[in-house]
Amino acid sequence: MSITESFLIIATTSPYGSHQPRAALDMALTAAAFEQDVSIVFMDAAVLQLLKGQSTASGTLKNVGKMIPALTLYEVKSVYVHQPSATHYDLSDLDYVEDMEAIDDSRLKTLVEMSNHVMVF
Amino acid sequence: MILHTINKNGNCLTRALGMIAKGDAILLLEDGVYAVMELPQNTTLWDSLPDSVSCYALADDLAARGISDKMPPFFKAADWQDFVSLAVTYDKIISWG
Repeated sequence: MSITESFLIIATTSPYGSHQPRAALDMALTAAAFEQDVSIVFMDAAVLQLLKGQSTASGTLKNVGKMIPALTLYEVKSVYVHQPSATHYDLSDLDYVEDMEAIDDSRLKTLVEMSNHVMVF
Repeated sequence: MILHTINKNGNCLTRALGMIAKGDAILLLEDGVYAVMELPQNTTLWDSLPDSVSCYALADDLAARGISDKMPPFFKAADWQDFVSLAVTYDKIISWG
């Protein structure tokens, strides 16, 4: 028996200050692995997770930027950047590790309403 | 209909208020209750709320922090029983942190 529900993961934290960003990505990948309908939005400081050029060569940290392309590869349906947050940090498409679909507040609000489960990290 | 809970001090509240819709409810708990103190300074934040949104703050958490008297009139104090009722009444809960 399998039940498919829609999950919206909202990442809100910068990549290396806490375990939260990893938890958000793990949640998204895990739910997708169980064939759930998963979307993830990078909002507020989480837009900084999307920056290309993150270098964790010193070895103590795991590169968050490198995990972003893995999301769609592992069947996360939609990956969005919250445009007002990106604007706040003066980021454009060129700054990201891959092409991102931008959403505004009203589209995010619709996603929040439509999803069976909304998790904020 | 969504129950939005806030349990931290900071911009979680702004995030929640941006996503709130008619018929939703908001519940402040733990350090989230400090939001009631930001009301006088931050009226625009609250003015944007639809009238139909019910606002609650957990009474024990307000009392523990000595700010029970700072709760604005449009907020209702909630006890643990109310918390449970809210949790089962709304379609889903979003914990904004």
